[in-house]
Amino acid sequence: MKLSGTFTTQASPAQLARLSTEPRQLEQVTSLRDVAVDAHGHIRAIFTAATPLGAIPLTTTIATDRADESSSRVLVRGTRGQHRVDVTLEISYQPTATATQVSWHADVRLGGTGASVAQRVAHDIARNAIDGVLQQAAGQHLTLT
Amino acid sequence: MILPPLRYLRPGSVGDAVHWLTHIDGAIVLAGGQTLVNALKLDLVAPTALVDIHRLDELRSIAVSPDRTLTIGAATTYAALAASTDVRLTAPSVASMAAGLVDRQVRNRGTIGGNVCLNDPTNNFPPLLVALGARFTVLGPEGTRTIDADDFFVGTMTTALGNGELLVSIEIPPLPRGARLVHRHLQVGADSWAMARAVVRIDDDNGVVVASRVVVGAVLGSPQRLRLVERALVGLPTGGDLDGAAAEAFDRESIETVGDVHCSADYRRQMSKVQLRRALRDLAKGTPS
Amino acid sequence: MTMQDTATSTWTGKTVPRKEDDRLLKAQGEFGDDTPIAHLGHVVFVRSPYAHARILDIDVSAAESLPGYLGCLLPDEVDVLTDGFMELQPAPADAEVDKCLAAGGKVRFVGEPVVAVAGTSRQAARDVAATVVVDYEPLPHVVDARRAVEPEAPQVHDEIGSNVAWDGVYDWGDIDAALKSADHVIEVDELHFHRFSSTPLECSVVTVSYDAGIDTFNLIGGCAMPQITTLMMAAAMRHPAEKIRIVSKDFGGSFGVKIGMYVPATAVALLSRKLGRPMRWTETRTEHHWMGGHGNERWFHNVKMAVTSEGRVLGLSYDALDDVGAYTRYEPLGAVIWTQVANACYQLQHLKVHYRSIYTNKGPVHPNRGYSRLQHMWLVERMMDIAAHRLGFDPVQFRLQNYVQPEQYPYETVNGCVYDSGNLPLSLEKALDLIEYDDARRLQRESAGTGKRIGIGIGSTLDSGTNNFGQARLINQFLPFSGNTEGGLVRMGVDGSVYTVTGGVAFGQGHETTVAQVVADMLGLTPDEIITHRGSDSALSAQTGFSGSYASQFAVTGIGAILNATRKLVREIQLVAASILGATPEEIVLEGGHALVLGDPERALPFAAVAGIVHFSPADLPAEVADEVGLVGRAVYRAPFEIPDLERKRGNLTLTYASQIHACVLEIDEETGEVKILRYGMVDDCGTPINPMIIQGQVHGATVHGISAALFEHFAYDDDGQLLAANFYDYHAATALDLPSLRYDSVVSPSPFTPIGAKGMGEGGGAPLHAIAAAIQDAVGGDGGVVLESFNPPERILGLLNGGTESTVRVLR
Repeated sequence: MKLSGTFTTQASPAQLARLSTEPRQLEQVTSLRDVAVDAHGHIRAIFTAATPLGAIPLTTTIATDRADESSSRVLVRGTRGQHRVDVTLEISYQPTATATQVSWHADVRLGGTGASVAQRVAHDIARNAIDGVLQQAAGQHLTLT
Repeated sequence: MILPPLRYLRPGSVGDAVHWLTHIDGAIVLAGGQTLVNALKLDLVAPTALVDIHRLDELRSIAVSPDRTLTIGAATTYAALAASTDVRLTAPSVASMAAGLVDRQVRNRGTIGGNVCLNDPTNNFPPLLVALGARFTVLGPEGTRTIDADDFFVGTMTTALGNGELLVSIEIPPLPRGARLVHRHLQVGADSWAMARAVVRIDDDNGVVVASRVVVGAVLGSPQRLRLVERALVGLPTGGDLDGAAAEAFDRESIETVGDVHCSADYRRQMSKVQLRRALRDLAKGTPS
Repeated sequence: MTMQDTATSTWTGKTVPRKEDDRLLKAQGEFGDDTPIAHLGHVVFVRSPYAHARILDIDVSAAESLPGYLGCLLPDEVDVLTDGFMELQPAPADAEVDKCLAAGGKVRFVGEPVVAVAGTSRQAARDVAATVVVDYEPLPHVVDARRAVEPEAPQVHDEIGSNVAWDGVYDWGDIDAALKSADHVIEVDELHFHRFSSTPLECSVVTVSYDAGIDTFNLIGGCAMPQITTLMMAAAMRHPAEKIRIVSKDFGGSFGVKIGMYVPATAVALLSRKLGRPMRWTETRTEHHWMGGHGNERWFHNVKMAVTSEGRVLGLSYDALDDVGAYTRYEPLGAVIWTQVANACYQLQHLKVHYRSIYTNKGPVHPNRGYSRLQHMWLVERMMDIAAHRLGFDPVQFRLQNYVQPEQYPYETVNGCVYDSGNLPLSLEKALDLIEYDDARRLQRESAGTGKRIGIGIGSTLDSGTNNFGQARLINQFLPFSGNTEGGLVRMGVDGSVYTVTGGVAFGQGHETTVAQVVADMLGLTPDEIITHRGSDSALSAQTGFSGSYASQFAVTGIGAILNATRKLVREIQLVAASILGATPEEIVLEGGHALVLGDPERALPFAAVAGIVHFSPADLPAEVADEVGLVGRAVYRAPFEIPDLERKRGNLTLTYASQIHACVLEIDEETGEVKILRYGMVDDCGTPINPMIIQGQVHGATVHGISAALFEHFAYDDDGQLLAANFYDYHAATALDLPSLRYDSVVSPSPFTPIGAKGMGEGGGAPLHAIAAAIQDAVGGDGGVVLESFNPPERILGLLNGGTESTVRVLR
């Protein structure tokens, strides 16, 4: 499943490039909790997607594959019981006169039951989840720095 | 059935239900359970508590006001809607939708409130209720508010309901004189997923379309109003080439669809257009509103 | 000898209400999950979410603190405690290692079990399973058999060196010469038979109690092939087969797929022994869809058919890629089983097939209703239809002309199989009557220009039954299998009541009723008076190695064994009665619960007296009678087979051939591709009927399944190797709302080879898949595409209406 989104933020490309490695910023994102760094230097957190059927909490590992001031590549794996989601996220930062335009492209792969029963809704849920986390994280960065 | 650990709560009133939904983190509403119970069984979601509202009489009434506004309690089952004379007389499209929904077992348990609050893109009622201009009465910790259908449905499995809010009833205003409405769908087999859905309403004044609502389901962000199609229809003679005008406008609409095991995204989009065309032809033929 | 030797045919052949239904309708059945067991633990499997991945780490530490956790079974333990399950294929693919949990540090399909955890309740076990953390490294995977045979494709089993599980050529007659000389040659690049299954109402349930005192595993669960299951488990667990007992009670369907039960049952058995308490695994629907057994998916390439100018089909050739999924299990038997019906319904003289069984990262296939034969017959029937359309032959006449003709039986096929009996032309005539053929053609003409198109299609199939297991040697000459047997036991209790048990484990086919009918006739009782064992029990000596319910055989093997067993009991009753009544055993007849002297009904002994004397007063009998008689008839039915000729791949591979000729009329919506079946006719010929009502029920079931498979049921995988119809959310099994009223008729062509002329039936050969494909083709007409897929959802049909497959189908001459 290929997803994408764009938004504009006041954060600078340099600040954005550090986002996926800084637990302090991610902690401020409302859908993330228990943010910590594991032995491999990856971020671990519980990400919770809200649905009318209840929350879907996923144990999430965020590994930054590559990050610089123009773009980052982040690998996210979420697990919950026998369900699994793997996301390869490419984020690019384009400075404009007054802000930064963030464009993201994600390859989202569902594993297990969710791949079947969520096949018509995962697209929107994942797109909103990724966009929500990125926008909030970018916004939080400003308030903290 | 295997459930995850959770609390099961049966409130005695809608006030109690709202109280629990507000104060118990992760509590959700159990109505007919036609989707929720499956999701629990599959361990897809992790609510902390189920607030079972299906026995609340306050949520199961069907009433018609003197101006012929139909008010349906959120926990009214499809079977009750299909069997209600009031519904059949004031909003026959709602009755026929309910009567044709899935199978008897689902109709006996599933509720209209559950259908709209889940807002699965393939669901039957959201596009119909948008076309009917329904209003949703919601009780929350801050009191009652009423939300128009256009604002109630926000996107895939998302509605305007806020934390602690409970859908209490759905009001369906009477269609203006001369208005007609048709819903059409294409689904997998007789009782499975929708591949395409279209609802068309035209308000006819002296042989001219004065207003229209054209809504598709089974697309990303369902229900989606096709504003370009609606605009293209307004002003046309009701006996004119609605079909041609709609088809031309449809191609300019931004409609996103997804593929699944049953069909491709492209087929879904094509079939939306076919269902729309068929609904318009039904209208032209004078199929009852 | 037939049963008429001892009694009249009062019950056999009659519609008798099913003995089973009384308890089933009153919810007094006992299915897998119903049996109460004290101190029961529950097993849940942690399964792979990936199509192919290396297991880096398994962490169960979080489980230990959870309430209700009893213990778990890990792949490393399984590696030590078991050998790989027996493989049927020869080298090099015999290097495949298949265990009850993912073997070799890898997972090979989504849903493969990795860890088995046990809890005090199903809920507890599931909650525990959710805390098990398996760390995977996803590996490249392959989900398309066509890609799996490419040299650089990912390897499902590294130790084999390719994804080919079996590779062989069948070449009967001289198809090359036929293709060279025939007036017409049709060539099709590719056809595809899709993956679906029978989705039994009851998923698998296995309960194992390990009895440490006698080192014995007691299994309870619907087991379609109890002795083969025992053999597989015994060999894998290095445990004597006689210390594994399998009991089946009521059983909600198998259709072949539950033959794979030994895999999860081994894990449950190991856990029961490890944790010292009984364990039950109750499969969920999603688990069943992932690994409960899929039907064979098959690609047909380079298909060529030779036809004379008079419309006689000479033969055909093709290359098959059979996608067996990640493990062979019962495969690659499918590579030979299709040859039971090599000729399909036709007088083919030449047939050449290059067949390969291919591993992919998908759920393993298991035998499934019509196993491996329906794929081949669909291909042949599709080609018959394409040839008729392309060459301008009338599809009815073309079939009639090429069918094996009634006077040709017993008919020997290209590969030495013997079609026992049948009347295909009459069956077709009746099927066309059922759909009011001429009227349907009128409807079709009138539909032109209405936006709906009407098509009429015929599906001709065979349901071959009673396997010659010698055919296994055609895929692996070293397999020690041949012939076929079934067991049965009939005994008279201390009060004269009669009890029967058969080795054929019924899963809904009404075996208790049909057994009671034939036994009642032989003993002069009524079916109500015959006590029939529910299910089966390996401890009752009624089974042989091949025992079970599969491959359309019970009416031959199961009934044959019970007839033989009853015959032994009859002889004993005659001996006892003769000595008491002062007659010869030959003069004794059984009637109305009495043994009486023929022609002298005054001299009679009630069965209760016979039983009383044998069980409690043997001194009343002459010593030679008392020494011989135990009032237990235990017998085997042996199907008369020889070992096939392995060099020429020839031999008689099945004993009976029931036929199904179906015809349907359907309507296609030109704008959406939706199909509506307007009329559906099915004509079944399964020889002498034992219970016509049960036959009709089976025919209806097989038809509904076939219609559903043709239009709705599809185990589709996405590019990531995820199953997209992982439960009934998206696997739409047809309901009554989707179906027309089915019209039934029958033809009776008794089998000359079986005990009472009956043939095995129930699988049904998949005739609806053929009939619907043909009807869609007929509706689409000459200017559209060609139906090249067995699965035709609306979108695909819309594609056909728009053309598109033209270039892959060629009339060379």
